[in-house]
Amino acid sequence: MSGTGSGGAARPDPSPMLLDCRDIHMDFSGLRALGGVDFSAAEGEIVALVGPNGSGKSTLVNVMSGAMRPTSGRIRFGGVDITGRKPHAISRLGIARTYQIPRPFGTMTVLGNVAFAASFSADALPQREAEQRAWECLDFTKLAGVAHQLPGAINLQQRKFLELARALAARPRLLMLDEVLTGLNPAEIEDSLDLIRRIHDSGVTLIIVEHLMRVITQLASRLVVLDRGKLLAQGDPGDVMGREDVITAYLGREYA
Amino acid sequence: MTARSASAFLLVGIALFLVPNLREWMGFPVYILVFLYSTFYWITQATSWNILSGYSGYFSFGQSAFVGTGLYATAIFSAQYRLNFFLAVLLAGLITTLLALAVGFVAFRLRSLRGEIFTLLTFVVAFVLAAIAQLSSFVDGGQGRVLTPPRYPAFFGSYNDLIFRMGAIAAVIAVGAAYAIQHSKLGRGLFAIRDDEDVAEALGTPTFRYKMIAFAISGFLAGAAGGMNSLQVSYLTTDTTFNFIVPLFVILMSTLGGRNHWLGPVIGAVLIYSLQERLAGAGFADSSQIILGAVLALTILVVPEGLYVRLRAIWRLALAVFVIALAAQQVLGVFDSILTRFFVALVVVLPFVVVPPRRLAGLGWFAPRAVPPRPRPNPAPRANGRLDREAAR
Repeated sequence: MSGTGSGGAARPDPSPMLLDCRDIHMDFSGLRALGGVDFSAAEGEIVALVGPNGSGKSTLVNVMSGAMRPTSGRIRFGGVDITGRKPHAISRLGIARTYQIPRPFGTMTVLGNVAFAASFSADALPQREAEQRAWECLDFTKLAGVAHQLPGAINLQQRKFLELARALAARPRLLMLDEVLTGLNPAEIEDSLDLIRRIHDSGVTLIIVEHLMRVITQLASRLVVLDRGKLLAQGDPGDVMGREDVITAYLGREYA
Repeated sequence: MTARSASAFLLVGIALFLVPNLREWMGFPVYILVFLYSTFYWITQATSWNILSGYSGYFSFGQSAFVGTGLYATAIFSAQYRLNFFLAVLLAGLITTLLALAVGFVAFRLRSLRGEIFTLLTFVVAFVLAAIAQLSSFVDGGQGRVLTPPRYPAFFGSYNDLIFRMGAIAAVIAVGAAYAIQHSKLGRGLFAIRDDEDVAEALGTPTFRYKMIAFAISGFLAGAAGGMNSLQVSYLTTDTTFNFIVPLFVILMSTLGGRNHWLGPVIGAVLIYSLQERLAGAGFADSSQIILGAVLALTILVVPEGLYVRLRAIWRLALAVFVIALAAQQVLGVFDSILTRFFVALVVVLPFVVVPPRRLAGLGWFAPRAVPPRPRPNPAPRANGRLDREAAR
């Protein structure tokens, strides 16, 4: 169950970072998706990961969650080398994620989906207790009213919240949100931002991949911009957004 | 599995074991035992298939690889090496377990082998094993293999009693295993793999290990039951043992009954095997496959989720219709064979299962009912986690 080739003894990590990616390369048969990216998140941060389509954001999330094995580079989480470990092992260390397009288990109820995550987390709760925790997570995400529905019967925002509830059921230390606001209307975005803040207040470190720059700059404590598989800029959201190269990469040359 | 359900399965097993003792008293003829044996055999095979393929969605078309290997292994151990028959059956099961683990080790590692490629791979395995058996003079060598009835302890009774009892034991073990798996963490993991394997893995499910365990259990049950079936076979050939009818049958049985539930393959096996057997008995052996195919295609089109889900909602009505149909045949004195009457009653029930449930809404106590979800438990006082505090606001 522990990862293959991680070579990772749990040596104490000198860096204070919760998650630390070093020199990540990712090639897909000739196509370079990531070309040497350094990326990190400190405990308690909200890091926004932004960049135009195809800049490598989702690939980086997939690499950090273990869904993809990087071509080269090292990933450490809480001081432990997790490079090449399987996703289920990484999730049990305390990393959770959501998907751009919600991917609930279609044959399980909303409650069943969340209870599943609680019972397969590192806590390995027995079914009754997993359901108990699932109810708490559904209260937190305001989904208790649809607990016994199948995911196909609830709306997009509720499905996005279900992704969050399911991720929270594992009590993660780090949560990666992949375009959680995309496709929502302004009122729903407000709701979601409120929920994301409450998740952060409960002590979870967040990495948010997002297209909606204006929204994300209100939320993030640090902005990281990727462009064509490379790190373009990072720092305080206000400063980074003012940089000419960032505007060019994002909006095209004529706006610069 | 809870102690209660385990003892229920044990009781069913003991009751079935005692059926041959009561046969004369109950007044049914010997051929019923043989019919029931074959029903048990197909229940076991379909259940074995469903544990991997129904629960996890990895459609195997290689069931005959286990059946054939189990049969030949039992024949070699039992007839050639004079090993105790029961031991030979267990060893055959162990060999097919290893076969499942070997195939799974290759197939479950690579994401590219999901879906139809997995189906194809398992089909090829059965094909290759048949060819090896055909070529190897140690196994078959193209000559076939003559089987002799094994020696067995006297308490199993007559030979027909023996095969009935063996079949019953195999079916109870298989169905009990399927029940236990469905109600365990393994089962929930397999269902999640079927719904979305990547998400299941990302949420902490060791998907590779779970698939291996399910395939190993499936392989053991199929191989051991296949070996047991040598009781009913006097002459083995590779054509009849590694036959593609086996995977076809178990897939149809599970799909007809419902792949999401341990009872699905049981329902499907009873229906399909008795349909096939009655058609053959009525002299339609040749055309039985056509009728079988048509009935199945229709039912699966109308009730794609499987009959189990519908039956659970209307079991009161189904039971009442079944009993009335049996009684009516008795009163009218039609169809003197018990088997035919049983089968006719099944056929009479079928339309009620297939009809959309809302059409039956006016039937009062007999109307379809949904199973209510477990209500929310009263929140117990507990230590204040961060989420708990939020929830209390």
